Amino acid sequence: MLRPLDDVRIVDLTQGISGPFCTQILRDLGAEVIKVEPPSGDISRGTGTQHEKTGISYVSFNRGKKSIVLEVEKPEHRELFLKLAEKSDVIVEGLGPGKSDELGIGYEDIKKRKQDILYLSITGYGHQGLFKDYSNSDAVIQALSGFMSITGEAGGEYMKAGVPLADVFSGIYGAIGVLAGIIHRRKTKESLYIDLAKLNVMLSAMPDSVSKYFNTGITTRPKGCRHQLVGFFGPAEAKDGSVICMAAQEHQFKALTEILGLEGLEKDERFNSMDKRCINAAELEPIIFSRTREMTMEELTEKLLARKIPAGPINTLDRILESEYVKYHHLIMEVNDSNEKAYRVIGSPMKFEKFEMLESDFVSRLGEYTKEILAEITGTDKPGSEEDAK
Amino acid sequence: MTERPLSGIRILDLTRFMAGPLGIQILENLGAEIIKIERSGQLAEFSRSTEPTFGTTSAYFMAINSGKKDISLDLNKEEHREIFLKLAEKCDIVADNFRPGVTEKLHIAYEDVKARNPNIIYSTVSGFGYEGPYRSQGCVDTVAQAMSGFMSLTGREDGEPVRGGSSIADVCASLYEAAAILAAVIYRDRTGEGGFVDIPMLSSMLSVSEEMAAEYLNCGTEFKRCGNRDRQKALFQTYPALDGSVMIDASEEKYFAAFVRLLNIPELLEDERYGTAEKRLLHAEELEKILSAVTRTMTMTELADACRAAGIPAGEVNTLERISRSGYIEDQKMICRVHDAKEGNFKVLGLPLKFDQFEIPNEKFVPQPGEHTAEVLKDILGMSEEEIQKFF
Repeated sequence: MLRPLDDVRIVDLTQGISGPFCTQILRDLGAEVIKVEPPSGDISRGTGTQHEKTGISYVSFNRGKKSIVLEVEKPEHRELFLKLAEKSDVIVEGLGPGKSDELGIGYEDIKKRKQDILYLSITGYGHQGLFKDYSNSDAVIQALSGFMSITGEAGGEYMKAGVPLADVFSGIYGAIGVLAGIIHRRKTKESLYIDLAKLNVMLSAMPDSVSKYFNTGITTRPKGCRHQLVGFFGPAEAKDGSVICMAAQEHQFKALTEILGLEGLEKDERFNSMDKRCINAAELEPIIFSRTREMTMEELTEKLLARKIPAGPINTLDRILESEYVKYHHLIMEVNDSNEKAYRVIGSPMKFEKFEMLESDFVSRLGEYTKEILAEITGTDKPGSEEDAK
Repeated sequence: MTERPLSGIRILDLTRFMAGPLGIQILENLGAEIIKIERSGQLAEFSRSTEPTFGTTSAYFMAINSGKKDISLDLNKEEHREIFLKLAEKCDIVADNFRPGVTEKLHIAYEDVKARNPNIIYSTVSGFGYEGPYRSQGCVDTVAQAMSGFMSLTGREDGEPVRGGSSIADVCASLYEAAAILAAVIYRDRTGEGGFVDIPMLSSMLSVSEEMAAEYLNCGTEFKRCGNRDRQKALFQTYPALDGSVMIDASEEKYFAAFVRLLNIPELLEDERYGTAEKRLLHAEELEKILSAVTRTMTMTELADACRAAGIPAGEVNTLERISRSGYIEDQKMICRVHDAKEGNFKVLGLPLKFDQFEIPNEKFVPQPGEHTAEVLKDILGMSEEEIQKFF
């Protein structure tokens, strides 16, 4: 079966999450990814629960990539890297501002050897400019972007997302950049430099709030899951957890009262309009919760959905991962290492009619493919080629 | 400079709100011609009336709909539906974000379009996918954030689950939408075949907790909220300042040492209890108190600058106002000026990707509802003024 990128070879010099997530998306679309690691390995090999020097974090962002070890700082290894680039289509790097040029493996260096190379550079804040030397860790980007200042309980402390949002979104934007580059190259036979800064990505993840500030000067503040402007629109407490229940409009609120056996509440003077339900939320919630607490999350969700009230349980990860939904969509894929150790990770959310996404893949040990890849690019099989790389 | 990669690609865009329009906006930035379909008058897209509004546009709408030609069609009317299908014949891509089932009822579904344009790429963003559990349920951003587990991981340890302050499930699905359409374009270039592309919001949002999901699936680890602390590294967290707070990574040996020196409490380095990262993890709470007592006396800028000067990863917890005033956004040329024919000029964010061979425009229009109806029908379908008048 043909996949869109199965004629594309990517050399991945990135570590951590954003770059590896980018090339993993491209791998899911069929690309061959050669992951160049330093002798100490990608830092994520040491992150999370370990199994034979492979951290779970590494497995979840590096499935299907061929690991080779090169020290690009060394001239002889740099030459091997450039040879590899000649036989590849895409380079993805996240070495830091100006670093790849210093090492002689920048865009211009590669272009001399491979005139139609696509070169994606991921930094925190661009190669030049105001913040260029700041730390590009996900939490710092979440802070600087203003994202934290619009996230949190109403009136409460500014909160960071409990997941590496800036890294993950940057990974997807990186994939978008490379895919656009592949189309560009098919049309023009030209090279392309693609520049992606993680802080810019995080700003773009708040398009409406930033536009509101730009055009009115009004800054968005945290408002939790409740909505200050629309009626009953928040988490309802159930027996075993909470359920998002968006019964904002009149007919939805009326339906809610019927589900809960609270008919007539919509006529109560305190609650008979969206505005009043907002103002009197502190009185309304206990009345509603006294009934919702008698139901499980699942019961309550089903009843709300049956009456067309947007609703969903606030799941913990284990709840959603064990759900029928995840099973139905085959969202969990198996990844095997060469010792037949099997891991389970989350697969791609994208679905295409014309080709299937991979249902299983491999994860490589540090340097597992060094010998094979170097033999290919140097045109020899002699075992010595692996030695060259040490 | 050459043409943008998607120049020559035409997209018929039925998407509304954010999970859809944002992805199509990315493709517009990359050079595609977008024909956005709305109902006319009061029934135009709801996000035009999301506060703050300016005439028929809003801060929300203009941020994700610039440069899109806008036509008014009522797809409940058979003659308008026929116009839709004729337009689809002249397009490369159709994009929608209706609940599964809606386009079938309107006879504008993938099968209907394919009958007229066999190589069409038809992309749909929905809450739960085109098949499977919950398929026919509507979904909004908050529900996808909640069901994906994201909210259970965000917020104070002893607080309630917190929603990401922007519509991140909409954003996430839109990014995958753009990536998937690009992949489908490449596939079509190679094989001549278009096809159906299905992006469920809930699946998209699961990928933001990829790493933790893998920990659960392989080791059974369950995760709690951890507020503004790192999940693994002690003292990588926010610290209070006079006028706000600062995110600082004082976890590693060298960072911790530099941090206590700059706070002028070097005696902590002599203290046995804090001698290694593991020990500091055990005593994180008391250490945090000691460190915070000093950081609290500095302004955000003083504290963050001092950390950065000492090589410690740090960043101010900015408001949108603070980051906007920093000069960074202009410096990065991230601002796009947009023009509404009636309301004048506004500013929104541009694409966070930059390229050396082509430029992404930083001046565009924001369409009025139906602003391009006549133009599009004339230019693309070759309809005469009279014919157009007959339909509208």
